[in-house]
Amino acid sequence: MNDSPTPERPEEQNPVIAGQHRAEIPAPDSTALIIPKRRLWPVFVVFGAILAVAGFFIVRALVATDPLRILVAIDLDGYWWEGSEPAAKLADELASQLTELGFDPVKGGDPKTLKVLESQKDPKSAAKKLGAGFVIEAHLTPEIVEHPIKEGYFEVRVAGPVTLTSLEKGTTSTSHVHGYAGAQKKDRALALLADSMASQALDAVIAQLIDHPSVREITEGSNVKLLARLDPARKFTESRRVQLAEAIESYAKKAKERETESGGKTLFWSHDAAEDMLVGAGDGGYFVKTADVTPFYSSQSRKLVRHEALETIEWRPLGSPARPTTDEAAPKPMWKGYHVYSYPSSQPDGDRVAFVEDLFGWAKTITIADKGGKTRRIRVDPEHRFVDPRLAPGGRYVAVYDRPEAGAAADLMVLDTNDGKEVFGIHTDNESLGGFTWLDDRRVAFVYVPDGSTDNRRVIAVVDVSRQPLSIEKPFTGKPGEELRNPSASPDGSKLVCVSSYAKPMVVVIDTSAWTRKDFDAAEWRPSWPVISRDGTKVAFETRVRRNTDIALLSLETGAITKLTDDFGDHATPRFSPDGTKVLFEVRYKDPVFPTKRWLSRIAERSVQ
Amino acid sequence: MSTQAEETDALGMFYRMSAERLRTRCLWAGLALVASVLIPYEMVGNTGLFVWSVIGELDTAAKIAALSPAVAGVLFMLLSLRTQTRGGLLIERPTSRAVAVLSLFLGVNGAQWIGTQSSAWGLLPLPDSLTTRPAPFLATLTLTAAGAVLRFHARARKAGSVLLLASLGAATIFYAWPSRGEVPIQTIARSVIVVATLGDARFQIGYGLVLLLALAPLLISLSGLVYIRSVPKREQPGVSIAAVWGVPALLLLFVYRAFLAGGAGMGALTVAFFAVLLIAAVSVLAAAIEVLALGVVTPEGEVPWPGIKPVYAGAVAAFVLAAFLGASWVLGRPLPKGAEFVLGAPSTEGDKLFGELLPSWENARLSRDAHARSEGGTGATAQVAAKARGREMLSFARGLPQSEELSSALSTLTAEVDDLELSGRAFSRLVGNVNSALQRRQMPYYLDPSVSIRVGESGTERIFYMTPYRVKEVHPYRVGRDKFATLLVEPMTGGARVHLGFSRDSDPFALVLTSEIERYAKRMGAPNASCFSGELEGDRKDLIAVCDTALESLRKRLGDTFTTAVQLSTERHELQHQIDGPHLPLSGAVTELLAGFQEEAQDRANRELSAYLAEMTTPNVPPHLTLVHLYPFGVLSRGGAEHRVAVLLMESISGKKLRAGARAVDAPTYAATFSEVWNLSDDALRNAAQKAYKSHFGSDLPNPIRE
Repeated sequence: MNDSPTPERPEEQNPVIAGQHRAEIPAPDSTALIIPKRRLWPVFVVFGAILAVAGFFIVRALVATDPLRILVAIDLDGYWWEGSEPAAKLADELASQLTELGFDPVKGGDPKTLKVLESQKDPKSAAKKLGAGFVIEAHLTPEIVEHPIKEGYFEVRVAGPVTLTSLEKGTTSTSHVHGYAGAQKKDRALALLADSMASQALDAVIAQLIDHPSVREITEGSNVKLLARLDPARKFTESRRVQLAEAIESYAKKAKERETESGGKTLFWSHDAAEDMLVGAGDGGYFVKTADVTPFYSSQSRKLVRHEALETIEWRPLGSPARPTTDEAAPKPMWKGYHVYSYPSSQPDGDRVAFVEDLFGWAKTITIADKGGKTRRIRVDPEHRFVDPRLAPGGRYVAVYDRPEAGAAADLMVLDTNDGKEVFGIHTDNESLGGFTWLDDRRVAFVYVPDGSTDNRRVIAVVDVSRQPLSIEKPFTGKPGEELRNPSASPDGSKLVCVSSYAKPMVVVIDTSAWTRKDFDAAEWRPSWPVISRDGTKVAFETRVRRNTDIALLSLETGAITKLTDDFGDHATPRFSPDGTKVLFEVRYKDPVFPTKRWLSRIAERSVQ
Repeated sequence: MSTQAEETDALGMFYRMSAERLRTRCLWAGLALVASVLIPYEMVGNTGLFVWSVIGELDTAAKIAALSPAVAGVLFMLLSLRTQTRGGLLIERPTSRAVAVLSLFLGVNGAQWIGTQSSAWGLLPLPDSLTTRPAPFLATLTLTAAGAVLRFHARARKAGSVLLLASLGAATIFYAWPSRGEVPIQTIARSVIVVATLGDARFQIGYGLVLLLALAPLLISLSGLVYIRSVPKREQPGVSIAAVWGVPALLLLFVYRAFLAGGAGMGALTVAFFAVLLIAAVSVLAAAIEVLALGVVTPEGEVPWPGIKPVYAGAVAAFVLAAFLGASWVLGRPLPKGAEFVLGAPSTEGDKLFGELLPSWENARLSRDAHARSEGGTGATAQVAAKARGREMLSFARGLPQSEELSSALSTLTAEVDDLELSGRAFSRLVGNVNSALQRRQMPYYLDPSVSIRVGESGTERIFYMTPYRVKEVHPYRVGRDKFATLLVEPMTGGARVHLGFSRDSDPFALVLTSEIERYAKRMGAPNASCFSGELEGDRKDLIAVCDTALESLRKRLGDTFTTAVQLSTERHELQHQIDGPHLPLSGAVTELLAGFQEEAQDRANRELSAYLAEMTTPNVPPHLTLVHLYPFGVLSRGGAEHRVAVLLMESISGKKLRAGARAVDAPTYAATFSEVWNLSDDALRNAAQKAYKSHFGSDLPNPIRE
């Protein structure tokens, strides 16, 4: 018999759980243990992670650059945020054009923009801060030329590169712009310049902008809203590309036609779209006056328009084709300016050119320029019109037609190029001046009917302008009723050739030592502007036997006249090369791109053989 | 175990659960309140101005009011923290925590209310979302939520019933407390009728939802009465959940609708955030009340808890609250009015600076802003021009003798005004600094800052501009111990103005435009001049003829003193605006006449009524001058503040009703009444005006004394 009490086994007290493995569950000491203490740190971790991710995307969105947002940062006499009014005008005009095309230029009027631009060290960092995807930059330092006009006149010129930089990719593309403007006040001139530069600047960057990968992502993407927004830009660029290509092709095609028509005998030295004037020929080259034009696509008119470059006077070596003056690689010209009035002339035996400068219509000057680029204005006059200046051999004197006002009859005036003083002048009441030429470094010959003449016969007068008192000699008198014009002396002055209309057209060659004449029948040739070769054996002249003018050659030995050119276009201003083997001339025809506005004029040469 | 013991255990368990719930809700409420700084303080077009942008411009009490929700949020978060060894970082005992929560809410509410009072003296009122009677609204929802929960617990059932009844009381206060002269429940009842009579069911549903939102607190409170006698089956019954989540859910419904309608603007996002804030506030307040009630009914020994006892916590909270609200009140007192400056003589340089250079700069600046805002504009040229004009002005100012302070203030103005999203307060401060410098230098010029609001292509635009005046005279006044002033000024730019004078609550003085007074007096004082300067025909011509006859007699009476009379009465008019301030009680007559009109229209009519009545009491000026001035508005206009005032004033003076219906005025009756009143003597009219003032505004018309 067992007296000890058998302890109760838990499973017997709880038969329900008998056989199951049961964990010990202590009875709670307090109800506090029933209520779980919630841990909040996982919530904060998740919350913090969400905030961090959201923050990351927000920051990324805030600092991301927008490829359609563009900062215009062109330094034109300073940046606009530095207070430069021309730069502000240019920025506004360019931004306005960019807006029309669907881009989003940074607004200069927003004070926040101003604060950023003023605080950043350069435009690129400012552009990044402003969220711009591109920045258009240029440093255009205006060259200011003050013209000697009574109330003042300012000409401003700029030329330089414009760069388009992508801030995301870090790529840069560069184009060049140039321009000029004039006004009586400097500020006004700069404002006009700024106006004209905006379209150029847009033209310089738009193609690169549209073709940039960041923008192409949009134009080739599927975002309808952005596609619609950039549609004007796409159309603009496409139209521009097509029209510019067509223009280049037109010029090339026309140039090729000219070459083909000449059978390869005419060598062209001017570029395809040149408007060159042949000033004179010298050893190894020739002087030329240019008036180059760059076609560019206007954002306002949506067609090609001409951007006229400053006119230049250059010396070009023979044998190498010329570059447009707007080309960065083009040689520095002797002179560059707004406009040359009438025809310049070169010193027959030297390196100087005389020309009449048009100061924006406010005055005319007689200017002498040398190959080194040194220029002197020897006469400035707001009223008189000077035409066709001719430098004497040696360059001491220049003879020029002088019209006291527009439409008035021309007088002949000779100036000393050292001081601009008039050394000789002749006014004819009968307005009979028919041309002039230099026989040597101090004797000028001119055709006229002396006042008071009873028989109205033209004479060739000669004046030695270095001698005092001046004396007009009349060594040669034309036939009664004969019209003598376009006199031109040989380089040594021994001969003088002119055109005569007496019964029939003739080329008259005069021996200036005996003042005897030899006539050459040119009835069929309608000659004008003859020139004699250096050796005195040939005369080249313009001839109009058909609708166009050509260059013809007269052999003084045989009297035979042959046509040097016989193809499409006008040929004018023949000049013999110093060795007499070639004749240089201008070939003129309508500009194929701007046929109603402009004529091309290309310098060409032909061998006289 | 006995039933009582079980009950106690269960109570203790629920008490701890409530305490834990309160702690957690403190954290979320704190986060939500801290995040409330992300709600725009005010909107400028589509741009939000946040509290950190404007905090520098607010007066002290308004600053406190603006920051109080965020500061309270931080404190809530601190209340929710605990350590390994302590049940709370700051407060351990749940009941003390509940007391702290309730005190914080009272403090925030009090600061908001004081701040509203304070900032009404400033340029613009505080945002409506934080000021439109939040206390009874929150109380209704909170008490219902807490009361329903407490009804679940045996020992707290009585407390729960009391809270449910108190909720009904709060709802009654919310709906029956007159606001701007009208009881809200009246407005809602009128709206119910309107909605019921709408023709389209879609409109009925739409407006019905708006009504549901307006009635939600009442409905929730009434739902809670179900548990006055019955016991909910769960600790968190549906009514309690509805009290916390119901109104926010309705708000979010409207936000959702805004998204569907085509994008959510800042307004919709603000409403969404407000909904979250509401959930946080109601839930934490309800939890606090639950804990407080359960703490009271739970014996101390059964659920021992360390920390300060609630009675001591309450005493500390009350003390801190009283000190905080007291300080806010003191700091929120408006700045003294009046002007004490000595007028120097105008100078050629001063005239050039303020009459030519400053307006030139301002025009350039406004042009620049217009460019920058317009769709296709850029504005660089305008920017350069504005800066150039600014430099010109500053350079000239610096050249003036002893002008360091003035040129410094102008320099700051030119530098800081270039912010298109500038707050109106900052603009006033910048211009005010210039005016202070002018006063100290005794230069007789004043720049009046103004804001023009218009809707442009890019949305609402605010144009900040200044009008320069030459100060001719300064007239100080006193009303009791309060000082006021009027400035007699002449505009230095521009053509004719519309008003003879004007006053703003934010300005320390009123302006009287002498040039306009002369122009007006010249026109009205000319022989055979009419009360109305335009062309009239038929009946309208006959009506005006009544006034013309009266005006002729007034001209004869006043003679050469006509201009002086106009000036004195205008001065009294503008001075009354200064005296009234922004808290002029709304006249019942105005409320009745303009029931349903916007608050702004009501306020304007109310203020003008006060000012015109005051004008009639100007000493040495016939009150009849006011009657002829208002007559054309009364008979020819159909609306506008002056028309309403003309009608109310004539009704008040004559004691006759001139309206055919609610608003339409019978013009011949007006004319006949005018003729009767015209025959009254000056003193009789002045007495009538004073009586009318008292009847409208409940107090005697102040009598300012010129010093």
